[in-house]
Amino acid sequence: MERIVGIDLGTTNSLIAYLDDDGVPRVIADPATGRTTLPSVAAFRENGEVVVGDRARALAPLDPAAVVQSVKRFMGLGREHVNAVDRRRYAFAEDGAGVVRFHVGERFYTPPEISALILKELKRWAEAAFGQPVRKAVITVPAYFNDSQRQATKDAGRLAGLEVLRLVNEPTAAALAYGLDRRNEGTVAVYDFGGGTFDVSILKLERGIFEVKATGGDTRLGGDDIDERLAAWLLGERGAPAGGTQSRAVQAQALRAAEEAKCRLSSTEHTEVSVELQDGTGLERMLERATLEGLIAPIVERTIAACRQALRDAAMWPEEIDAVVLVGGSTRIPLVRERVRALFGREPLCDMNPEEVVALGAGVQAGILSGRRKDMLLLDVAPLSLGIETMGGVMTRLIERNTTIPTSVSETFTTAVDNQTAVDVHVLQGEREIASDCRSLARFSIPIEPAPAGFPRIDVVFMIDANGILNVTARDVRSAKERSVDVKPSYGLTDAEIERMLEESIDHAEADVAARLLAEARTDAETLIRQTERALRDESRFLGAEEESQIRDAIGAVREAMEGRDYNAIRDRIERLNVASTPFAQRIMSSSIKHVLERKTVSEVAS
Amino acid sequence: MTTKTDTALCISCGKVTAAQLVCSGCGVVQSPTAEPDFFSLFALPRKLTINLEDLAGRYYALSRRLHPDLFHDRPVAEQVASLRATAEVNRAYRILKDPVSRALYWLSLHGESLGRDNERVPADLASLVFDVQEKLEDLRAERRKGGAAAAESEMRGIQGELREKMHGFEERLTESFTRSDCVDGHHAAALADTKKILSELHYLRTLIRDVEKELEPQWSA
Repeated sequence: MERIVGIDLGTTNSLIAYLDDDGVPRVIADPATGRTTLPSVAAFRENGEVVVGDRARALAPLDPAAVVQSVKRFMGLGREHVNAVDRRRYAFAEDGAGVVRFHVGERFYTPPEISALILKELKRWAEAAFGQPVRKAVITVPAYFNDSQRQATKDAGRLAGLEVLRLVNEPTAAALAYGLDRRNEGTVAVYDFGGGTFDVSILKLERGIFEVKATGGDTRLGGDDIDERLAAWLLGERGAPAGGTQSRAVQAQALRAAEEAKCRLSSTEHTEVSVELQDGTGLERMLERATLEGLIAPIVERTIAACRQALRDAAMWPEEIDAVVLVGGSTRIPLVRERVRALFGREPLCDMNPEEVVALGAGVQAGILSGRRKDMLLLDVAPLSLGIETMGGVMTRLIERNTTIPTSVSETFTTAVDNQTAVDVHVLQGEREIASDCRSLARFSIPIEPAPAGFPRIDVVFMIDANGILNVTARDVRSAKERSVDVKPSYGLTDAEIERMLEESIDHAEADVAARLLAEARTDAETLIRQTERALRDESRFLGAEEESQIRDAIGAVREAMEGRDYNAIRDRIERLNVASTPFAQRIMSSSIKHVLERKTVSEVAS
Repeated sequence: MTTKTDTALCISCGKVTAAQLVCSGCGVVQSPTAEPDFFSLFALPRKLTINLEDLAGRYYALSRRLHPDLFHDRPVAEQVASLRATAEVNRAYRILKDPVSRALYWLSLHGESLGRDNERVPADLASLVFDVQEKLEDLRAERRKGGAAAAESEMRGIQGELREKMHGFEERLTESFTRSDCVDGHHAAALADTKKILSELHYLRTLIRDVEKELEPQWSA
């Protein structure tokens, strides 16, 4: 049976898991190092080499301009969503509107392209573990991801050569892992505070059905924000305004120091932090846990407000929640635990590794899709309301947030002017009343037969599928003709763009293969020349007079080929050198065998 | 709205199948007909009173047969049918599990609606609505001046009272359902009572939403 993998594509770290034959989810380790977490970092070196994971992360303080991290925060965003903090950390393509593009070296990369590099590495781990290709995957996304962010994640999968069978909301995935054990039934709140996003979901677990009651959160709120605040505070101590005047390298270093100090303060009350500034002076500070807590309290309060909202949407009181599950690295912070405990009035559960639980849940969902767990089923919700722009720039809701998906709604459109040839529809997502305050998902135009105003009737069906992604179909009621609607995502990649990226990556892959074959041929040639020359020197007694010059000519020919880039030519000359030197090599060989035999006989006699 | 008893052909075996989500012949999932009766999707009689636990059980059982997660390696026609059928069942469940939307749907099945009555503030609630709106205005004014802790905590108290009141209305609605079900919706007095409570409940919900919106502004777009 083909293996389907489950991937937690995180802001800070990514993991890959699967459901084993006993129905138990397991994470897969890097075959080289045995580590199960892959830092979600990519680096583009000057020599054209692309590295991901730990090696890319190590480059961040040395060469920040070559490194892209926390790319998840930019998935599905338009250029106008990039803020001042982002601009201090990265260079972006500034021309026009559309998808965010990172400017690294000579090239531009969209967030899905960077994410695809991380996915490819994880895919490689799984292929090494299974000994067979991996083609299908479940990928987790923050529950509060909107349509563009989900589309972007699917695109990343496609660019990595994966068919994304399902996007699963992260807190729901965590609940799947938690609820695998049937003793855990009842109503569960999952508080998922990760590197870049915050989610809360309230679920009912009953006889293998996982029904999400409500979800809420913030896709731009996470451990990164805590690090930013702490780093700004550290640098601000020297009178610099929030890190504004320090170089990127110093800022990268301060961020790293802030992150490490934050982690240490989860287990100690105070810690020392040091950063080397631009002018070469060192900055050393003693940081108290209370100071950190003062800095991050507003961030934590935002997560608590989101929890209250989710409870209201689920029509539940905090005391009706049977268990609170903590997910994500930021839940290691004592203040976070304290506030969650205070809200729900119970001790949160953290017996599962908060870094692995989402990936394990993705593995469970992969198992459900592959038919390994037929007893479990996930009923998830749309995190945000969906609507259209109506007269006066108002958002008219068609699907309320927290509606169980898949779901559909149909709306009838007509014309306002005589002989209109098309009706324009602007699809929005969000909770605000004014259209311009909501996220623009798509604009499309439905062509119609010209008719007097108000005459045409076009039924448009908005369908949100099990991945939380919108699909639109339109039907002309009078002619009963189905029309396919061309939905242009406002901040996504078009199919044509993805095709082009795939082609480019195949081109690159070919170039990569050629480079590897050339390098291997050169190494083999060097080894052979070294061995042959040593033999010519040490074993000259086995050489014929003409033989030596023939072999030396053949060596010269290999050297000549090594100057070029044609690995086939190098292989060819290697072969000729082998032919020329074979009789010589055989003579050496047989002599040494005789030698060994003679010695053996002597030693045997001796014993 | 009338229910259609039209027949359709199964997408898999091609035989005539009744307007149900699963073919009676071969058991393959089918797209729902244009306007299925939500009660009949769950094999329930058209009654206002519903046991929510029983409804949830029926909903879960249907989901276990129809959900798209169970169809990803099936032919595309079945995948599409599963998606449409699940979307319809989800819609039906959402409408039937909430007493207000269930009652409105039930009224529409009987060719009735709340009509124009629904646009006016119900007489019994008028003073309450007026009172709460005034307090909300006070809260906004306090906020403009900066610092509105006292007004906010008063509003939280009001929020709790409104929720309690709503529960009381929901119980009254359930009782009126029982009466309407007994006479099968044909008794004018029972129906009028149901409509009156529905109208009040509807208004109360809007009021609670206004209060909650004021207390907890959206943290992000």
